[in-house]
Amino acid sequence: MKIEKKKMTGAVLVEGGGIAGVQASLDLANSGYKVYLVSRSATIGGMMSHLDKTFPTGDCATCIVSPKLVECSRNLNIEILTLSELEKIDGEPGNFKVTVKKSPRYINEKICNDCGECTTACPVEISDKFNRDLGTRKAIQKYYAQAVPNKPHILKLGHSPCKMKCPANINVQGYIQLIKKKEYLKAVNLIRERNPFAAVCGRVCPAPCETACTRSKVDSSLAIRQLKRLASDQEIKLYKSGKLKLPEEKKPASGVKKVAIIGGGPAGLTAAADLADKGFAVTIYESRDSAGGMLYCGIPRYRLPKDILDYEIELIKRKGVQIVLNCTIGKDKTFSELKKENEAVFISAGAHVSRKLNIGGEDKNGVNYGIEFLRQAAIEKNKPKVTENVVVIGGGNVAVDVARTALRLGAKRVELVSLEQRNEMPAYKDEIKATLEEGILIRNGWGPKQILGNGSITGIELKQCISVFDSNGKFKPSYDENKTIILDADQIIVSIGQMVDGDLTDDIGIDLERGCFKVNPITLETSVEGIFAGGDNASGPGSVIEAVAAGKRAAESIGRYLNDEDILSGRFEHSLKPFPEELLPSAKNVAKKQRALAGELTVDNRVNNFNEIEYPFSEEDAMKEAERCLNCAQCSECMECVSACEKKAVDHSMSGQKVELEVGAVILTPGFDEFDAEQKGEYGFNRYSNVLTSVQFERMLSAAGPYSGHVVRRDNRKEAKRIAWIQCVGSRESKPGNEYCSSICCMATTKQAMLASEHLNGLQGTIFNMDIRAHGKDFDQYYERARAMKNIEYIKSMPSRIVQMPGSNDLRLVYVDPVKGYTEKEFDLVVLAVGLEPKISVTESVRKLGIEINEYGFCKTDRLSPLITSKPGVFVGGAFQEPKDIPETVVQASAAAAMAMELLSPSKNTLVTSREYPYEHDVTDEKPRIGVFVCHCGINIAGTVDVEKVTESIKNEPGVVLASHTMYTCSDSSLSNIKEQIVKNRLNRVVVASCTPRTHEPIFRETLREAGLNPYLFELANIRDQCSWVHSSEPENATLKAVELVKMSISRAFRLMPLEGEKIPIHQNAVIIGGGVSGMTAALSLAEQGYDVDLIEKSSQLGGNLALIHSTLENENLNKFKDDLIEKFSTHRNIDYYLNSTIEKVTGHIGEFKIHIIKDGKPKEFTCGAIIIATGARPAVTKEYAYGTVKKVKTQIELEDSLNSGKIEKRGQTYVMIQCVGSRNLENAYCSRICCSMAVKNALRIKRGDPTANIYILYRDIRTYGFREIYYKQAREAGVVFIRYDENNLPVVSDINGVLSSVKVESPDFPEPILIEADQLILSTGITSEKDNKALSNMLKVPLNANGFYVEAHMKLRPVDFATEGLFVCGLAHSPKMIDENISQAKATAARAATILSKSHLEVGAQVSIVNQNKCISCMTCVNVCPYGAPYCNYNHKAEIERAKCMGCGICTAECPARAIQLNHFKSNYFTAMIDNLFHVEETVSR
Amino acid sequence: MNDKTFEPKIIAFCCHYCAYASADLAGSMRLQYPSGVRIIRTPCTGRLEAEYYMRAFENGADGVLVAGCLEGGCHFIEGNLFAKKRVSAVRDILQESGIEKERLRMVNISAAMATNLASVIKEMVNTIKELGPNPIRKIHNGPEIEFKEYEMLNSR
Repeated sequence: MKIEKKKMTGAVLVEGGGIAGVQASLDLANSGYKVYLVSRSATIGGMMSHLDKTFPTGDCATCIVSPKLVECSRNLNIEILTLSELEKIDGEPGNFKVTVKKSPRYINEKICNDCGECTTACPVEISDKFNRDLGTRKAIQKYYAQAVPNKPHILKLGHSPCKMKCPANINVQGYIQLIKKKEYLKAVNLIRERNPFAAVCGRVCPAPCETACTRSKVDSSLAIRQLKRLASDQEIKLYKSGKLKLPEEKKPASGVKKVAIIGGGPAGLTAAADLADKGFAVTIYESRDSAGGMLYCGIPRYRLPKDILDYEIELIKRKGVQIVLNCTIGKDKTFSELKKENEAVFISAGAHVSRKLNIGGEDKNGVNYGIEFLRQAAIEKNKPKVTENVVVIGGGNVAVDVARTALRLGAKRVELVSLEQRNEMPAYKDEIKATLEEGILIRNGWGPKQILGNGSITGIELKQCISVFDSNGKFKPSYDENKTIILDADQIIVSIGQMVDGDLTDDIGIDLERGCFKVNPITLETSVEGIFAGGDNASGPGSVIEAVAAGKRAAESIGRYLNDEDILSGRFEHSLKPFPEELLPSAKNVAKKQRALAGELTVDNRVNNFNEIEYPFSEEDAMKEAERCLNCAQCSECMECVSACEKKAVDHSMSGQKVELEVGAVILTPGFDEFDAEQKGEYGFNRYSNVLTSVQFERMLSAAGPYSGHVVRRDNRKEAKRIAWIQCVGSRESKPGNEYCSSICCMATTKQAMLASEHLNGLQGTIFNMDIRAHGKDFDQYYERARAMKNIEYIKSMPSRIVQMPGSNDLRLVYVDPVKGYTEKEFDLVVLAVGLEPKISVTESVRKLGIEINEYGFCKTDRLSPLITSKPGVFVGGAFQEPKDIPETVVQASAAAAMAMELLSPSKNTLVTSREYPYEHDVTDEKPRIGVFVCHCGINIAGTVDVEKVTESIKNEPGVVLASHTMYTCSDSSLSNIKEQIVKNRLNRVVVASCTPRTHEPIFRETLREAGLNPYLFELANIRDQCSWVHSSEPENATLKAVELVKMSISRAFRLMPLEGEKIPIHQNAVIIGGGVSGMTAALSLAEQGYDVDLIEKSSQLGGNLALIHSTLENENLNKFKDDLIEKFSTHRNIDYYLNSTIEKVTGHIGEFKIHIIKDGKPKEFTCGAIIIATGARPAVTKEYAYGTVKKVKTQIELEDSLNSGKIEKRGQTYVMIQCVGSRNLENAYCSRICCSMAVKNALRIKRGDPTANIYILYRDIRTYGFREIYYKQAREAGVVFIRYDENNLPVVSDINGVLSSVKVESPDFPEPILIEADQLILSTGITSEKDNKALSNMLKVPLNANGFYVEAHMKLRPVDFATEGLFVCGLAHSPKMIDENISQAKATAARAATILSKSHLEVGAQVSIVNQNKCISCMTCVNVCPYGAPYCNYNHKAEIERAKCMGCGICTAECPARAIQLNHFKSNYFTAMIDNLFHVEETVSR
Repeated sequence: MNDKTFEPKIIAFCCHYCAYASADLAGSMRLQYPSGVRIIRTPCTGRLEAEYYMRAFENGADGVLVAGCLEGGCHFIEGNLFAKKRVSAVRDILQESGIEKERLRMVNISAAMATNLASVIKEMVNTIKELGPNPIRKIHNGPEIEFKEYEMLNSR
């Protein structure tokens, strides 16, 4: 794939914000390409930000990754798109058009200044995914404290089940959260947004929301109705006590459109309220003497007191709603009159007509009907008369209400007759229970046959009901007419349902359906334009909340109708989206808590009156109840964050968007997911609280984590001293889990065990494993250190199950110990080392992009082209390519960047931008004129520190000419103000007192530069992060401290001097040392990018170790690969190479190195900008196991060579291979990484040629990491026998007359020694470093480790750099590794070198050390102590510092015995001035 | 000074990459610690000269805390080890001059160890509260002591 001379887009999209994505982005942006970094998460940093420390150095993961993240976010040419994913790639390599789907953050990132007030205000506490459910977080919060971008985001994916279930879709979760915060008025207002009857529904709502409540999966649903009641009761209490005033009465404006509403029930009132809010003139025509409909005349007072109803009707009236009482449409006013007077009509007259029994005797005196009876009872003055013996017919809620009302009106005996059996009765369960408690009899399963009596009633004959519903579930009772009984009664009240008043429906003349108005179910339009209907008269009798919902819907439709808007599109109903069911909170791990119960009047105290029966919750009970809410939808949309944010950065209305970008290449680094440990049911994860995953344990270890670094049991928080780690959970097994090895877990566990033993005294750690795979650089030494510790034990066994012991909750592991056999052992904590797997969502979306995925869901690549996907122009790196650890991930990231740079080199530097600044004015001779700007940071600082006082106290400090304070100093307007003030007051120093320089210094320095001041004339006093936030409980002291901090900063600023970096020219070419696969690959990459490369090889040929190996484990042909590579390399026009050449001398620094070589006896000199060391390593030689003395003993390399030449000596031979020959011992403490795979490769090769061959591989740990594990399995399946041996008990080789005869091995896994009669003994001798590394490392002044390999700048994050800039290392010179890893590493060095070579000049340190030549005593202490080799002895025999090499640490400054060195920007007098200033010591020193 | 009202004044030198970052994190986490501590930022603890500690005590500081990266985790490879050496030397000098060496302390704090930093500060404040005010405070009351030596030092 090569695209010649075509116009290309100099931008790259990097998908995945983990360390790989960050590294690739930085390399690209620093080499002249525009980068779009797309992260699915709200932050960048990926898995690394979750880790506590990294192995083997024990570095704090946050410390090392954070600066990279910040650097990434500050880079002008990197645009970070968070909460985004790549959706589509169109076009061709070099010119792609990509589409990115961006989800809303709900925070305006440009405005937000990360003050955290929204997080404090948010009442929602949910499980924290960053801490892997070990802690809680708020619905609006930063992903973690040091997150980049440092902005919060809102977790919002849909609406909670309670809200979805509510007919009126009230934001239930929201008001419960507000109640939790005791924000009762806000809660009630939130309810009233969807339902004007908060107090009413707090009493009489059937609460369908409760049936949907997720909490019912844990114990029982939340008492939502009672919580609503509590909030509204609190409101009414405030009103009654005079603390809350009702809103002013409003009047509709004159000339507005008019709406008439027939019927003042809940539907009509709700519609009226909304329409009045919309500005219409609304009149309700109510036929009774009071509004409220069924609420007024259908629900007895003991359930809904009249004053509560009146209160809420009053609130509606005050919106400007006219209510005309005692006016029946059709009687007192005709419908056509009404239609004429109004632009729209809403009919909500309810269903107030009782159904009749239609049986004999119904016309007798003493027969009454339910709804009429209740209506009469509701009117105080004219209560219906009740006789002694009342029978109520019906099983619904009205019947129950009737019976209980009859009892209260004086009936001696009340009996309820219901067709349905008790459990089928439509009345609410609680109501039935209360009815029975009050002494009312319920006779189930009987229906009325006839009413008995002459004139007045004497009784009723009942017939037995056989079934109520037919086979289709329809109401169709059938009776046994022969089974009858007679009940005595002197009054019968029939309550078998209600219907719409026929007079009304006939009168109006619109289409009907089953006796109700026919309406569109969403818009509630009737068949006549302008007439709408809802509530009971449209849908049949329903609950209050259904009527409210209809009212809301009608108001919306009528409003749109009157405003001539589309009535159907974009309605509220369409905005509802259920929260994804699979993401709802799990019932597991939630402690059970009793649902709160409301008290009520005792039976004796209630049956003779109409007092409200139910008591409200106590506040305390309500709080506990609200706490039970699981916050299903995460964000509850209570809007507390909106009111907390002073900068108005929170915006709940944000929606997702699609971003289209033009890029030349795409790099995929989406990372991995952890194996779901719950799938391994035998280990009890998520059932036993003390079983953790390795990532959870990492969070537990973290000092910033939910356990503050304390290693404790989760059940009782006691120190967890007995900890077991189980390896390969989800790895190296096909089901459940994955066949491959996850590569990192063995070391991660070893690290965790080491850290745990630091965290607590007396740790007893046990690590259950199959093999320990410590195959990385210096890993084996680390493993051996752990193994040598008394309190860490490695057991070669996989536990079969974990049992949690009753009582103690100890975890009992069951396993087969290699020595003791079947064993049970108890632990405090078990950590499951979960494997890596690709995220399903990632795999799916990558597949959709048309990119091939391998059988495990990872990106499909070849061993010899590890960075290339199946789609040209799309590259891959990191764990999505194959499971791998951090250094290899970083290497691949750089390597993938190099691939993109090779492709896009013609368009380099076409899309990058740099900032232009005005000319800097010289301040060196001016007296300091300091401007001080103190920040309120909203209330973040000002809430604790008295900012005005601080400003006042410092204005007379020396040099201060301006002292002011601002609300947000970092806001755009404040920054402009600073610029203006600099000019106006001729400021030449600026002090800002606000947050931390770590995040904000660059912003302010930028401002200075824009105003023509040198950026080093700025000083920041940290009075937020290190003052107001940490001393919020002592505001006076915090103010005092702030004053002193600002004064100290002023005294430092007084002395600050402008600094200029030095621009050094860069030689835009590279020299590569070593002509093996790594050297050639690096050279080709740079050459393809357009840089000239000189390669120096000491031997007479190219190819290095490629001459020794012939195929990969995957059986790819390396001979051809070698030939192709050499051909391509040696013919590239940008490459010159020099064989038989040795290096004599290297001088210079980044950008300008000079290399002197001798080629064929003649000296030659090169100058270059960067050097790559690719000097390789060689196969180790051995004398062990009689190698060289006994025949038929050879090395793996020799075996491979003979296999390659096709020489299989004899069929059916017995081969014994011994691993780790001469490695992993005291002499060579490292693992050579490649030998296990090589042995497996050659064993498989033998077996393929001769299945009758016997092969025994004697090993210590088989380290076939990653996808290589599959070949280990294949080898076992092919019959290769693997026998473990102990390093203290090596196999013994016997010979007969100098010819190999047998190998004896004592395996810890077998009781008896094993004697193998062997025909061939193959020794895996590993890799040893080049001898001449020492000389070269001295010339380059770079370090070697104990084993003679080069030591990189940082093991994890700078794996191919040296501490000395401009020098890079790759391939075996760095450490033993596989060919694909060498290729990646070589490409990585090319990318790293390109970050230098792409520039014509390099600006090097302003903050560097300077030697005062007069004071230098030539002791050369500085030369010895500098970790970077920056100081050198100059022509004058004095020390001098190479600015290009100085990193600005100041070690030399402090060490210099003559005090001849000063570090710019951190000079000694800056420190002493601050120290003196703090103690008010008079300034004795001028600047 | 009454022991009960005595609030020690402590200078804490924090390195930019680890300890200073952890002090910021303590803020983000809203951890609370005594307000008598004043943090001075340094690129690396290896930059700090022994004189600063001495000067702080002579000025009247009740304690000096030096907080650098974890050992082995120094951003500048081994700057914190140089600092450790110097702090230990100055502690000896303090002891000889009759100033309790507990007043000067070096700790290794990573950027994530905010809780540790807060507890170190609390611990140190408690230790110094027990020791009482810096004895030098009693003999000098500010400006009359001349710092000729430092003047010389700073003139370079």
